[in-house]
Amino acid sequence: MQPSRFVQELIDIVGERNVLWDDYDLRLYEYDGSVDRALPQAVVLPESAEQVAEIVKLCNRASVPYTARGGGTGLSGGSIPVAGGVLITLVKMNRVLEVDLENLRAVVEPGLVNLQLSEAVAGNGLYYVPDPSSQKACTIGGNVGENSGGPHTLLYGVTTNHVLGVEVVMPDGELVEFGGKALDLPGYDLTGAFVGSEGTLGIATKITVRLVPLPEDVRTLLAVFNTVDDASATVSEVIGKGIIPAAIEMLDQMALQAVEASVHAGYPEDAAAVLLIEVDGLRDGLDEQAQAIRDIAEAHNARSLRIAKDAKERELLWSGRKGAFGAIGRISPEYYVVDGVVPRTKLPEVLEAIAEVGRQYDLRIANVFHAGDGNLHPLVLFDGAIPGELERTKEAGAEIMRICIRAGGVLSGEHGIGMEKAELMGELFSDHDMEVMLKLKAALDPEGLANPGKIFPTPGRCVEIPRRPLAGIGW
Amino acid sequence: MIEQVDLTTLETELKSVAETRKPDGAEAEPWSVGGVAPALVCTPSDPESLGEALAACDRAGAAVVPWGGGTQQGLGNPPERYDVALVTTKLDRLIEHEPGDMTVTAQAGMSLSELQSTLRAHGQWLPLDPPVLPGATLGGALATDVSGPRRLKEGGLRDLVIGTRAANVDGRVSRAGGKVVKNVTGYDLNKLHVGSLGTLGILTEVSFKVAPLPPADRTWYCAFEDPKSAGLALSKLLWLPVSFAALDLVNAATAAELGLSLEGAPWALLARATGFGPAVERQLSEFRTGTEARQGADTVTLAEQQAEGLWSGYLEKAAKRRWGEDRLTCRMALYSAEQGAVAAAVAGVGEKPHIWGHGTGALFWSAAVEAAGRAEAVARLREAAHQAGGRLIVENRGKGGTGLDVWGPEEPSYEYMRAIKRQFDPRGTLNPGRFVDGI
Repeated sequence: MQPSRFVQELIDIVGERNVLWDDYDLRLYEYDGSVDRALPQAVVLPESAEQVAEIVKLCNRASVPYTARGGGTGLSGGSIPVAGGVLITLVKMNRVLEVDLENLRAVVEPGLVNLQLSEAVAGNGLYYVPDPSSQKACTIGGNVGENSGGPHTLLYGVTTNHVLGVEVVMPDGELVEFGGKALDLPGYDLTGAFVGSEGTLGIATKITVRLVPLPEDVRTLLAVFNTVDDASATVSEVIGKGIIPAAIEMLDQMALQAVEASVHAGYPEDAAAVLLIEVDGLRDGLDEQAQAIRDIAEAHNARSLRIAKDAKERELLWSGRKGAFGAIGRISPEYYVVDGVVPRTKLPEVLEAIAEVGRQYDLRIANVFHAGDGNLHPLVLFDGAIPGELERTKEAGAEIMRICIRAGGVLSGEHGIGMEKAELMGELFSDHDMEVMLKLKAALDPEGLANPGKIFPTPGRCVEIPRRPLAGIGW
Repeated sequence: MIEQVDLTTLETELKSVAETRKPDGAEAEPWSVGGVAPALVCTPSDPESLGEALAACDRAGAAVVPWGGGTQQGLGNPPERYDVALVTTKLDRLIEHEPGDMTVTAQAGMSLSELQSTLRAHGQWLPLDPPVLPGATLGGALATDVSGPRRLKEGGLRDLVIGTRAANVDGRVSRAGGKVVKNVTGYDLNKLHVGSLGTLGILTEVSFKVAPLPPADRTWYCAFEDPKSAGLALSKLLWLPVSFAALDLVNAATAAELGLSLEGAPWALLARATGFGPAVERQLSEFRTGTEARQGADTVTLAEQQAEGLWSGYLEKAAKRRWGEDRLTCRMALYSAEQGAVAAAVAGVGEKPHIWGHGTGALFWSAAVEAAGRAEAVARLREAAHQAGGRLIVENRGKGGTGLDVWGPEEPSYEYMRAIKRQFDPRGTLNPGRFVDGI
């Protein structure tokens, strides 16, 4: 089969080895970490910002939509090409371009894997803070797109707090820089507006991030509770006492059981909830902080408490949390990760309401989440082989979102809206709120070719997914 | 838009939605910006009427200056046109503060100091210590992206704001973000408002993350002969796993006003540590070691009371320098490690300048400069900032300084900023001409 003229033009930009266009290859790119899928008509793997710019310009000339993709670990379908078109995969642009030790900044390409940045600077006593659980595979560019978080963002903030500048291929095909190494530059904070825009305002080709000195020491506590309420009350009181731990993670009983079956982290399987709490910083005073947390947990009926004695035990305690999603695979063929945020004082009632959703939809729901900032991750267990179960699962997910909204929360804390929750946006925001947000889109992407079908509900509530080649283009 | 604005009709319309005055002469003076006084001053008492008033101005082709406490109206260019001051100070209600959530929501016209005292009663604060005069509002702080020494550890307004409601030129009030600390739900329009000088909409409500008041809070300083050594000490201290609350570089003129004795040395590094007692003590020893290694003098420890007065005096005096009529005051946005070198370079510009900088890389220069010499001073300062990879903004043009280049040369990104402005405010109703690139 000969490449079409359009594909040939892509090949002219990036070379033959960097374009995929036969059906077999395309199938590998129709999904990400979420439950949705859609097929691109071509996949390109550019090696430079200039190539990305040329690809975007070509797409503009041909009115073809394009979607940027990093590691493909996204959980809301942000990198799924819902409207078809070109999938621009940035994994070959994966260099650390500069480490500026004096100013505590690094400049990286978007395809760099998150963890590799921290590894690259660890020798200098520094790290990159946002640590999504997928950090071994997700890319910094993808993190920018979805404003990713992670367990350690409670004290130190999420991606948007650590990204200070971006070089972007704008939807008009021009390469432009927003922000930079210095703070508070003149003009609108377009870096801030760009982070979390899910690839709908352009494609980042260079990212300037803040590097932070590695904490000198850390204390990791595991507290086991017989009720979720006691665990939640502990979280509130720790924070209320002015202690802001680096992380507070909660696992409920179902999650605990799955974890124990998988990694044997020493979590008791009959408990209702465990909290994994970590304080870090200067060694001085850390033991006092850990003790204060311990006292609070005990006052809230913790049935057992464990403080990691060394790095190895800390790793073990964390392995349960970090491996929790994978462990769910032990007890269910598939699971659907829901991402929602509520004010942290609402956690007990919201968790109860989520359990009720599980009963109502006859689905098992495990909870593994960032309790410190109220960021929930209910995992709805299902079996896609059972007809109708995926649909029921998605409905249960939507119901959980409504619970979050009623509790004063939002639809996503770190996974983004993507295609998954676009239709739910209208339940949180008014049409007018969204119209105002879309002014930003209209200003920067008037043609609407940058990752269409994401974040906002599509008029008519149904995205037109081209099953056949787009009009006017031979694929 | 050169057509004449029908102010009589507009006045009637505004009066139907909100308290509206037509100040004249001396009464108009406090509302003037860059020597231009408004025809009308409108003070709505709720967000909806603020929206209606804004829409009425927009329809009439009248230019609006959003007005909070009016404490920082000297920022930016003088407005190209100015018909109506839209005042937010009646939107001053606390909407929600749940201490356990460590978030707060208030109307944008509430004063920063009132919010702080509300939070303080619960052992919390909005971790922001900007150099502003009393009366500065939450909305005004956000629109001007003002911050102070403690931005170093606590982050700036872009990090603290989690939600906003804003009146748009079509009169409707829309919201973005939320009341939770972690959020990727729709575009983060909050960030667009930060530092926008009210050119995209008028904030009516804001939600912030708040922080606990620290149990321990200590301050030290150390004199230096050479600003470059001080700057080097500063950047080395930032590299330690020691999260200082503030690390400020000040020159002798600034230190003298604060009553600090530098024993003839021209520069000093001020340090503040907050947190748990043992960690704070440790920070002192790190500061002492770090400054000694860079030829700093002996570290001086301040008593708690003295320290509190020092920081409030520092901010108060900075605020006054930012708005003194005879002064020229500039803010440089620098890489943190370049501060010492730039401070050295700009110390020779002007007569007896005050120079002070935060560990974040914000470096201020302020001096009494005659109107005729200001353009040249700005050019020299800007060159020093640009040579170090930074930028310079004129914060206080001083009386008669209307022709100064406040924002500096055009950047390629401004094209996209103009596009955003056209979408949000197509008629140029909001603060026309005051922001970068004539926005």
